[in-house]
Amino acid sequence: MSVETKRSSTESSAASGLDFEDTALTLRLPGAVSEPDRKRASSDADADAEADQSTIAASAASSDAPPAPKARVVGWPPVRSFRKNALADVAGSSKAAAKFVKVAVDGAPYLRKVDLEAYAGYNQLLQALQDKFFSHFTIRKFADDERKLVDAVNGTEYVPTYEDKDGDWMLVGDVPWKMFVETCQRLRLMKSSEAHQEPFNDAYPMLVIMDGLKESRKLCPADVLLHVRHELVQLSSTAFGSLMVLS
Amino acid sequence: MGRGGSRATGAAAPPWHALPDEVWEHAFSFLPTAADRGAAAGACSSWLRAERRSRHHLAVANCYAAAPRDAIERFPAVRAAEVKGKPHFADFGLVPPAWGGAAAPWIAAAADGWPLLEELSFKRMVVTDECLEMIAASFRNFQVLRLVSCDGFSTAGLAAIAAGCRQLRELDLQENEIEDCSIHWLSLFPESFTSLVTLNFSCLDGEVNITVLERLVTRCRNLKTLKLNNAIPLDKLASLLQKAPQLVELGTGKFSADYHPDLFAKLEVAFGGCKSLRKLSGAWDAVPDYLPAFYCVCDGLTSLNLSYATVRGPELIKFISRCKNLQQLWVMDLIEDLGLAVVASSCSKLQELRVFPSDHFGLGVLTERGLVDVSASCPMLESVLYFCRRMTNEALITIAKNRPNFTCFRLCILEPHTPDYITQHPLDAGFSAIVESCKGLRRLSISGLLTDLVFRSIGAHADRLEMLSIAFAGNSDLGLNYILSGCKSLKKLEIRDCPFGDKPLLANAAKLETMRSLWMSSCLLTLGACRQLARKMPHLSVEIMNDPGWSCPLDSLPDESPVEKLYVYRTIAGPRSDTPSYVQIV
Repeated sequence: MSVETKRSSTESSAASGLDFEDTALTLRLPGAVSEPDRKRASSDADADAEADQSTIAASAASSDAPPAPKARVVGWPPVRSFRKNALADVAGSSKAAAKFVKVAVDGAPYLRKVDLEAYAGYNQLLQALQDKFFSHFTIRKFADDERKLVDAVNGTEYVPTYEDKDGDWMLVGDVPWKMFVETCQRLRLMKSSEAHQEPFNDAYPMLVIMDGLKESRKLCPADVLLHVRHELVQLSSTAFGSLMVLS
Repeated sequence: MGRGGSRATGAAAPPWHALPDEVWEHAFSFLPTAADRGAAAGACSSWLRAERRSRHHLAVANCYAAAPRDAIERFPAVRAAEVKGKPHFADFGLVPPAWGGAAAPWIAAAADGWPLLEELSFKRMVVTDECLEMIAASFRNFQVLRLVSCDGFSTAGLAAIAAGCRQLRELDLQENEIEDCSIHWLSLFPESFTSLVTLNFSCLDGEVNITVLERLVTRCRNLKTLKLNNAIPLDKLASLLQKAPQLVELGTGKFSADYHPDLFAKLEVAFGGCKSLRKLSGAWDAVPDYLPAFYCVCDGLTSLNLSYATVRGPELIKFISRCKNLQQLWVMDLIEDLGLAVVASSCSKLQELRVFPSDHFGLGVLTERGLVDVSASCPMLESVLYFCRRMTNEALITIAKNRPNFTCFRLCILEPHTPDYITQHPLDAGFSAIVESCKGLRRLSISGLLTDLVFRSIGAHADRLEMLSIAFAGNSDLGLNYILSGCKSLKKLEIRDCPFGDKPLLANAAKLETMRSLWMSSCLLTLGACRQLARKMPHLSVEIMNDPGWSCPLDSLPDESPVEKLYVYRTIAGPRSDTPSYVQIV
């Protein structure tokens, strides 16, 4: 971490008479093993917290960059050693490399992810998708979309498709399983009613999406079914400006 | 207060303060808590005498606060004693081994002074096989042994208990480190032994003789709590349940096997017979296919501990949603927001929720949303332990508004210094809302990016707060000063990796004597301040720790030397004599 230690001008520092330069001293007991990382971590972080509001975002982002490698801090998170050891035993074998891909379902408000490596073949994958999307019955009182999640019981059928490394949308099941796991980038469960429609009809309406943050995008008819819906579910409610349907 | 109890013979009844002790002892038996009894004992000398002579249950929250002999002299009639040893942060590896907390002096003193002792409970202490042998040999009427987060003993010690404690009702081993000596300790319960009500050996790593266990379970008709370890296979679980359908609490141990419809049917029938089952735990490695076997007991469950079950997905949610009467739920974050939304709508009687972290970084979807949902829909929720990756002030404010009845709120955001992920602000406002709204809050753990402001709120508003845990928070000494000069009811304070120095500690030295203990590690303390503190406050024991030990005598070190770990506690026993080389008492 290379965050500058700022000279604090807030009341707290003045009251305590401590400057951060002072706290950066690392006088160690003779013969003691010094643990500079931890001390530095906390004093750097203090500098972060002391910074102006406008720079908090920047310093916060740099001080806790999420993905690996995370600095290993002793005793953190505060989980009992007993629990840590017990779960390490239980988890044992599941350290193999995973391949997580996004799964979009037409009409679902958010995407899920599945680990393709966790399944031995198409049957298991499809069973898992069935379980994940069509057999739960969440009833959230203040959301309005989610009741539209369709149960398999309703009879609405979905066709599994996937995007391969070339960017083409393919039907799941044609190639050997291993090859599929290799090339699959994302999955989409398409309503089978749409899958059987003529997608390249000139009379099909064009959709123009106004993204609140970026410029508007126009999509060609061929892409409409496949990509527009996909992007719809990914836009957050704040980003989504308006939807215009032109015929 | 009437004149009852006197041997009235027509003469004037004796003044109330001259009533015989037996009267007061009887009256004190109605006082619900030790605190009440302590208050009564402080009223006058006759009440003191009566109270201490009739005290049957003694809880020693810090084994070094008083010498065992003193406790026994003061309370000679104790039948149940509970003693705690190491500081709480020892649970997370912050206290090196051999720190102390030996149970032996307590057991030795008890053997001498409390021969009628029936119950012993030790938490975070070192209990050796010799200790267990002494218990078995010294107390004719011994009935309850509870060991929580202890270490130092093996199955040999358990064998001594099994063989020697003829009246044993409860053997409750929770999360201990037990060495497996391959001794068949279970077979040492005599055939004539039938008094067991609680048997919990879930933390034991070794093999168990199933036949012996079955025979034990069969003959102990009063068995209410049975918690198995990982060594019991699923089909044996089914037969055990059939022998003990009266169970109220069950820990299943392992709950996985290849799916087999016969085994499933057997389990379903077994669970179907357990009409009294209220608490369920274990389910290590649970295989989703078998979860439906539990369905018939779901309705009656008040407590569900799936915190070691790595099962996820719809089966887990389906299962929990059937548990309409749940009061206590412990799960892993694999339940995700979706699952917690189901909990919110299904478990309206929920009082306690604990969500533990799994190792799957960023794969699940557990956010602040889950906690907000549960807080909105569970009106009796009062205790929360929640590990998550992100939080917002808005969520915390909403939670505080929803649930002013929280008594315990522990939030752990996994990455230190994490701000509100939407506004990037510190989480001061959120936690302030919690302490302002929850007037009955007794325990609080805070995390995320926090400045001194949050401590100002806590100090000012958290009047009933007894235990506070702080990590990676604050900007300066002011933070600690706010806490120590406020928080009227504070008993335990534990701090790690915060920029708090000497000044607030010395300025609030008197406060420390009103508290049970203070832990500070990786802060900005110096040896000089610790020396001053020790001089000023003779009733405090000021322990400093340096890993890996002091290479030169403490006296020779200058005042400016930084102190890595400080543990201060009040004591009437003077400095302890069992410190390891890395601990010095200033």
